[in-house]
Amino acid sequence: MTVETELDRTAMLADFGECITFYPLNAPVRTVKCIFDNIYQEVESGMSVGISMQQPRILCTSSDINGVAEGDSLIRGNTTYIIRVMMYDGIGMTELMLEKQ
Amino acid sequence: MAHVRQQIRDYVITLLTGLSTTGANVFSHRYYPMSDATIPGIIVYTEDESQSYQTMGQDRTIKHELTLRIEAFVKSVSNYDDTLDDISVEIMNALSPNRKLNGLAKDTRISTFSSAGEVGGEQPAFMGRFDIQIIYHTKESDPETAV
Repeated sequence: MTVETELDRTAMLADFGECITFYPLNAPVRTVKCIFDNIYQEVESGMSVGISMQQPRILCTSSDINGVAEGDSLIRGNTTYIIRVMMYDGIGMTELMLEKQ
Repeated sequence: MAHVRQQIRDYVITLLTGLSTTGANVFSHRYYPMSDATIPGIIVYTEDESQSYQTMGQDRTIKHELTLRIEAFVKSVSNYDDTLDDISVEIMNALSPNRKLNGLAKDTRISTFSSAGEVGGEQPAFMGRFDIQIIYHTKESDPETAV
């Protein structure tokens, strides 16, 4: 059972989201309202020090990215990203782990 | 002067500075994370050292067996393993003609190489680690001079 409704999700994306264009290989190109996040992350390297990186991710409704698959690209501003991992929460939202090109 | 161990570390850093792939991104004993400004890059530091006495008497000769570690860092969306191997070639080409390290060492041997990948951030990172065994001698009264 979910706590939030589809309306809650739509309102959240309307307030905090931005329009990002997806270019799926096997589905129509579309512009979707998403929340983009790019927090700092020190990646463990297994060596003497880690690596400073950003961690680009997108949160959107699962229905908005129907037909989008891992390996597809999207463009935010002047930067192209490849979708590497799609993390469905099972109740309507999907987080995408991105690779900066 | 400085301890021969430091002289060896400094000399290896000199040898590895300016390689085609890593350029000036060569660091000694780094404590902060590597970043876009320092990758592709190399970290050089010394680890364990065992010592044994080679002579008897008042001022004995010490044989030092030092492990020097070289870590290489690559970050890219493709060919990261090839880039790491390019760095490996450049490191070996720099070290192999200089295995006596300008008179500081008796011998230098690459003993192990290991690599690992990580995908926690915006691009895959690939790392390689060389363990280098270096043998050098000093007198116990003078650790700043190789003999």
